[in-house]
Amino acid sequence: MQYNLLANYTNDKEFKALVRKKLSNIKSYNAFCFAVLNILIRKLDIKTCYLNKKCFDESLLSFKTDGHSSLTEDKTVTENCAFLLKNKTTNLIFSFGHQGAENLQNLSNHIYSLDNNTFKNIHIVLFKSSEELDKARQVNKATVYKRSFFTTCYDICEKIIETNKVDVKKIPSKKRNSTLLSDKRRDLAGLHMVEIMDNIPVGKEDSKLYKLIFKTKEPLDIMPGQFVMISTLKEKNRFKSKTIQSISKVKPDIHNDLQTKQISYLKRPFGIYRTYYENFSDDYGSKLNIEKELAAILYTVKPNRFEIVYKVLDRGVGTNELTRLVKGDKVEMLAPLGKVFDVRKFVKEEWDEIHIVGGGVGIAPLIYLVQVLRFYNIKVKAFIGIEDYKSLIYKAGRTKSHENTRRNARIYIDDLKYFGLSESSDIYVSFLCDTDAVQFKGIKNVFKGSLVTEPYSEYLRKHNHLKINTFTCGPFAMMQKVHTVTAQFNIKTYVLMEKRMACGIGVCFSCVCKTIENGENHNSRVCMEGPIIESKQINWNE
Amino acid sequence: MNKNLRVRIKNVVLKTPLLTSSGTSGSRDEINLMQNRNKILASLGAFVTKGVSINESLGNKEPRIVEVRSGILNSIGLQNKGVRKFFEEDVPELRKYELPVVVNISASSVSEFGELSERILNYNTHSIIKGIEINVSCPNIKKGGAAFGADPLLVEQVVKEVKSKVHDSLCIITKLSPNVTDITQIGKAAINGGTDALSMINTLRGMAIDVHSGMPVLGNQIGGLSGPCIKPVGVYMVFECFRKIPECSRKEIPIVGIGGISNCSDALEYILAGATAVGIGTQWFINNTIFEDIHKDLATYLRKNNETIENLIGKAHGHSFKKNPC
Ligand SMILES: Cc1cc2nc3c(=O)[nH]c(=O)nc-3n(C[C@H](O)[C@H](O)[C@H](O)COP(=O)(O)OP(=O)(O)OC[C@H]3O[C@@H](n4cnc5c(N)ncnc54)[C@H](O)[C@@H]3O)c2cc1C
Ligand SMILES: Cc1cc2nc3c(=O)[nH]c(=O)nc-3n(C[C@H](O)[C@H](O)[C@H](O)COP(=O)(O)O)c2cc1C
Ligand code: FES
Repeated sequence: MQYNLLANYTNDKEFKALVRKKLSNIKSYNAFCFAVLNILIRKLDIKTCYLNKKCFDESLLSFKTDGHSSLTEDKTVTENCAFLLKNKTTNLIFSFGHQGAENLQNLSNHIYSLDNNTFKNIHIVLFKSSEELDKARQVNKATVYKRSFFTTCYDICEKIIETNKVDVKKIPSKKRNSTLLSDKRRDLAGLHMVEIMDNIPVGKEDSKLYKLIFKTKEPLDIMPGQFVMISTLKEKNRFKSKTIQSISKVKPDIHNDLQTKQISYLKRPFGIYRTYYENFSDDYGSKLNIEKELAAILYTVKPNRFEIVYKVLDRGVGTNELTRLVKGDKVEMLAPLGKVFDVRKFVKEEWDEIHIVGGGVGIAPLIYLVQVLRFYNIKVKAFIGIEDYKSLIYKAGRTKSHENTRRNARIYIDDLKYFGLSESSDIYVSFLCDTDAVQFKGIKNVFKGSLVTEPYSEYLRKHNHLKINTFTCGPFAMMQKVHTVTAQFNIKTYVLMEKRMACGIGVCFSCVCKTIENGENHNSRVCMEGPIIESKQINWNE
Repeated sequence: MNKNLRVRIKNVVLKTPLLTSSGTSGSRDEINLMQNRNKILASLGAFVTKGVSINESLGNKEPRIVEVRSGILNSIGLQNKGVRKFFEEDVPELRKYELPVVVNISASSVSEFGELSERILNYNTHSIIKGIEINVSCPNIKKGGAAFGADPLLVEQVVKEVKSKVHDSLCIITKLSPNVTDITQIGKAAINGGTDALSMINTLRGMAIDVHSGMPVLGNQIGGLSGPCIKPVGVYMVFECFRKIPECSRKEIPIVGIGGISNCSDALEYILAGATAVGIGTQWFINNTIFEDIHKDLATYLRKNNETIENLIGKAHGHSFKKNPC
């Protein structure tokens, strides 16, 4: 992979001198950052374009090149961006967070408008501290730094220390915790009022599967494997202290049934199906093609739009209530919950392939994992088990090109494609029921009348030389089977556990799962020690 | 600090009358994983831990929880890691709360209660623990698993045993079970045993059956009912104890009112019935801002009516009054 890097960067000698002055002023700070960047760039084989010294005097928008001759100082940023677009390689454009929002806005707007969702031009804003970075990641900033990525000096330093063993010891670097699963949530659990944007039945007419799309006022970081707890009854301030009892404000149609029918009391746990970032197209995953090393220092804006896929249980109180929610309704949600799976740490290992093995609605939270893994350009293969082809089809939301009609879409499959998985080679679908073969257009690896574990163990048998890590979610028996299969091939496997929950925050001990640690039996709280748990820690025999 | 909200239980001053109730707020620093942790901690007068026993307990079979109308049934089975690990792993974390901590204890015999209290006293080198709450609802192994809490003599023995170990160094609260014919008898017995305060109520025994499978829903078959649906029972029991136990009427033995509290007026009901402080449990699962909400509303109520909590305790036993509602 080849990149062009544009940055406000003087020549080597000058910045070295400046670095000596350390972080005493903005100019030397800029230079310092680029000294550091430079190391990373060399490692990634990125070609650089130098910018004029003037850039250190905040004239961010004028370019001068070194190596690429067509960029000139006196051209406007529009012209320079247009030049960049002619290049076949990906352009990385670095700028500084402290250089004035207006400049950055201009630059990122230009890049955004010219780029037309090809993701050939990637704008990266560098911040001094993680606090500044956090501020920039709030969604309202997405309009200022349009479709930009963010990073800090610390992240870059850490990366370099790790990969090059370069002597940058003097640079303070943040301590990272050493385990893959930790309590170090980027956002703490909080009560959010979410606004429903859509609630779409998926599959056949008597559909039991729904996709719920909602947004939160405050954006929030949810990591793969984490979950949310949603109050399934619509109501404003349903549980706030001034209402005497929750029942008093329930929708009238339920109210009439109150004497005979149960309404939900607890919130219900759900995994995240996928998230959306402001200004990023739905299918950005298939276009964005950043090298793993680089992706590992980048942050996106925080998402504020989320989707969950839920299955309506036959006698399920809460999931039936969920189906009644319509656009504009507001419900309360406690999120994010559960252990954080440190994807950045995870992707550092050289995996050949990451596998997701999901059955039924258990596929849903795995899709979000794929979304995140694909950001780091990790190869993912999906093995999914569903009832039949029809149960995948739904009417997706309106698009700009289809103002008034909803387009046909396929749950799971389409999003996997959006994240860059190939329908013909990366997605394996097992249909439990036999269905019309004509409908499988696109999906090559189809298994009829089979459970997902059958083709999966077949695949592993054929590819047992690869370094693989597996994630699985679905019915208990299926996960148990996956565990048996992967254990056979010595493949590390994580399961996304599911248990009845009351609090979601580790205080009630109702969600326990039997585990074994150092040969001892334990009851681990899924909401606290999970939901992602390594499969060998689970006591499958109980 | 708002003086109107301040109450005391024996020698422990509570900045607000709001307590967590045992088993519903964890035993470690779980609250610190909440965005509103500072508001929660600022609203609490004390922190009551999940039940601790001498040895580790794995708890009951799943499912351990079932939702019922306006409440839940639970049969957690007192899962905990044992008192030694509790002090090694959890207490250092609890320090971060900077609140008086009350340890809820459970045991299967009178002597075990004594041993447990002794250990707590010995481990409590940093004096983070200010009190012990004796859970007399746990099963007494010697008596075939019947709860201590139903037998006044046993309750008196348990409290005496604990008192003989901790003397006056820790405040002793006895948590009464509602699964009895006359709760005031048990309350009196606890006072005879030397308790410093009473708390009530623990969960009401209950069960649910799945009509489609014909089987009990809980893995343990029977469980304990909590949540808004039990509030009238709790208020009644506090009212009865305040009325019939002279030490309570004279406010010598304070009562912690627990059961189904979900808002400020619920808390006030308990206080008017005779409670000095209130414990909030299940409803916290539903409304994660309940502590700060009630704290704020109580403060407003007191200010509007120029009242103090101290002054409102047991007011339902006197004459009616006219106040601005909360
Ligand atoms: C971490 C986690 C992630 C989940 N992610 C998803 C998801 O992405 N999509 C999806 O469709 N479902 C998911 N589930 C399962 C989902 O929470 C239940 O299907 C749902 O709570 C059922 O609610 P109900 O009111 O319709 O059922 P009821 O039977 O009426 O519920 C009664 C109680 O039991 C609990 N309960 C019932 N069935 C389950 C179950 N299978 N798992 C956990 N609790 C249950 C409910 O939460 C509720 O407290 C997840 C569960 C967990 C624990
Ligand atoms: C999940 C759960 C666990 C509990 N664990 C304990 C316990 O360990 N010891 C105890 O004395 N009470 C325990 N209780 C009882 C509560 O402390 C409280 O008395 C009861 O739930 C009533 O209050 P509430 O309606 O506000 O929840 C538990 C209750 C629940 C719901
Ligand atoms: S749901 Fe309460 S501990 Fe997990």
